[in-house]
Amino acid sequence: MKISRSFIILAFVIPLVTIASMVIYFEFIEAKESVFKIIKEHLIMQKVSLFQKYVESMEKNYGDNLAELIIDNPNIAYELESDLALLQGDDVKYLYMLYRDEDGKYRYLLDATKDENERAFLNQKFDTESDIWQTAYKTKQYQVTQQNALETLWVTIAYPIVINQKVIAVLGADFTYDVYTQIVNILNPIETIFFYISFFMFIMLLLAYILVYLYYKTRKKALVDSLTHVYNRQYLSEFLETTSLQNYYLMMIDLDNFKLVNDNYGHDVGDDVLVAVVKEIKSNIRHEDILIRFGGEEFILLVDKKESKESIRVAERIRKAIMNLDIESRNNKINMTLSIGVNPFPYSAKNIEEAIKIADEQLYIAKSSGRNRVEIFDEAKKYESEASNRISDIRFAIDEGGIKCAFQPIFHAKTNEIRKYEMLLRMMNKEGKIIPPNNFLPSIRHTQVYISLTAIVLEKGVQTLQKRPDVHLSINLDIQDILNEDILELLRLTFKGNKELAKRVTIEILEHEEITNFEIISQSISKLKELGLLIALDDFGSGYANFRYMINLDIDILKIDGSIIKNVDKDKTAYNIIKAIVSFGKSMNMKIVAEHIETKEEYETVIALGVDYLQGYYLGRPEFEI
Amino acid sequence: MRALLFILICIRTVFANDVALESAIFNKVIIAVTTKEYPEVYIYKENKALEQFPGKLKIVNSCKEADIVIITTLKNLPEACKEKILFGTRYSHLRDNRVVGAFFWQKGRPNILFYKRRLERYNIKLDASFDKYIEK
Repeated sequence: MKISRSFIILAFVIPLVTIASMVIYFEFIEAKESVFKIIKEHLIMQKVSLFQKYVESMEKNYGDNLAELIIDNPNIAYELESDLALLQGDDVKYLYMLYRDEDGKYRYLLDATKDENERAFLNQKFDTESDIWQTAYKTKQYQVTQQNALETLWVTIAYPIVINQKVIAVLGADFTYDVYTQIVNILNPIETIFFYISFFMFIMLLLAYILVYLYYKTRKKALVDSLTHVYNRQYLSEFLETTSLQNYYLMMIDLDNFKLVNDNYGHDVGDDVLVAVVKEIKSNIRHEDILIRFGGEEFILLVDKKESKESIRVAERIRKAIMNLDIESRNNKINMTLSIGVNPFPYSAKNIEEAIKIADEQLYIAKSSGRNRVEIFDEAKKYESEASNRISDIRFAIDEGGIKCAFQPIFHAKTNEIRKYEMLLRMMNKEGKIIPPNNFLPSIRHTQVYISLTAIVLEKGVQTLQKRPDVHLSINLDIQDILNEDILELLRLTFKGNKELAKRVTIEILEHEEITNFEIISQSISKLKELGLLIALDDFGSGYANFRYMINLDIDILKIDGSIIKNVDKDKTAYNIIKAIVSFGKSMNMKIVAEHIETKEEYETVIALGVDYLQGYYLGRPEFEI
Repeated sequence: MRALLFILICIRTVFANDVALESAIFNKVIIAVTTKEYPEVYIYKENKALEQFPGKLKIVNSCKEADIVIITTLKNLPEACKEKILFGTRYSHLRDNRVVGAFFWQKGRPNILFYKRRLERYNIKLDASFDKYIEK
């Protein structure tokens, strides 16, 4: 897994700096408290030492009747109070002597407090707020308390005056917060700096994690399909950055005739169907399996191999589940089927595109074989290396509007007027380069992408016909295409009920493989003709094409292969072949088109031979606009 | 009684300032002295704590209506007030025999003081928690 620099900063550096700054801050607080403690102890010891000397002098001069003596003799009281005042210093705010009366109440004997308003009277009751006075009496040891409850006082010392083993009074000293405040004033700016650094770092940390949270939340949104809530195509590439396909089966799932649902019930119902199907698929797979919406009604399922040793079981389970699923949407009850192409060895492919292509080819076979089927790739089959690159380019071109159609004019031989245009497919790849169809069509011929591409060409053709009512178009299809139910359905949906439009379209059929089942082809051609379309046989005279087509098939137009046209003015054999084709075509009531005319000589020769239509660079090159 | 003082000091921390604490102590003491849940109090001449936080004490405008008078000075005390129970806010107020007790701050500590004979004169009986504050 790649760890980015920003991730390291977010995950480690900011928390570490935050923790470090907080540790420094708390260490500082602790150090400050230690300083206070040391100062406090020092002040107390200093004062206790003075008290000790004071008490020693009392022991020498007075007996254990000190309290009575002070109460009865104001002069002694005054003298002792003056001596006591000498001990006070700046750090002690209140300095006084208390005694305990018979009722256990504490009363002032002396009070050296400077502030007259705070000074107590002789014998005035002293309300104790802590136990130190009592403890001092009891233990004969001095006591110290921190005055947490009293706002103006910091520390109080209760120092017992012991004469003849008897506590006769207690010296009380209240330290104010002045010393504390002085230290605090010195240390506060430093503490504040540490506090703000820690606080700032904490906020930074908080913000960083909020940003990370928001980032991943947004990212998750970007990776999840908003309708079905399964992953989208973007997720697949991200997933593959960190995970190998070694442990997965790759399945390509496509809903059969989904377009009909959209057309008949509307897109809202279509959406409901997709959601219901996804829900059903998810209930038939495990949490470890990954379902990805790859296109409209196309899904990729990565099945964890731990679930099942055989991918067919999973695929069949899903297929049957969907087949038996009653989908109810907006008062409609809909039953769907799906076809699945399985690639059980996706890791053997060079890349994900190739692995998907394998599954897509199996899906195509499943579709061609009647739908509602599962087809599994045979390991023995070899991977076609080039194809994978093409398929990703084509998908990119489809998504990014890189599928273009050029229009090459076809002229009437006698009038020299343009009679129609042949639509020629072009693809713009990622680098913006125009790719001719021969370079990419063969590798995708047996995939769903090919059908998507056909749909795009038909759509563009219809748009052109609607925009230009004077134009007639020729559209190229492979002989296999017209046997494919999906393409036939596409043509039916496009032209059914629109004969005016269909009359202006010629389907040029080209064969890549030898066709033996003429009966099925004948039926397909009849279906196309029923729609009002004209049928042309392309590249006649080359490859597998032979006269049997003309006999068995209801063809309207013959297009003589360009390789025969080339040098027809010099090549006698070619000349004779064209002559025979023209003669035969006319006898079969077909129109003849000579294509690939590149020179004036070729042009004049084919006109002399009596062809009906002419096409070639000599007359007009393909253009993207007509 | 130390417990009472402790509670009062604790209240101080809760009430966050001296004024609120002072008011709480006055409330406790005045309610005990008057034995009324909501005693009527006349303040002569001013007491910020009670004016700001009277608590259960009802501050009245004349001594006639008052159950007790809290004094901040004895100077020029109205005649009508002299008949009422007087409660001081300084130790020095206790020099006057008419003053039954006082609450004041000394050396940063709250002090409460009553004189037994003066309480008896007004037939005031405080509960045992006040014993520590009563001087004979």
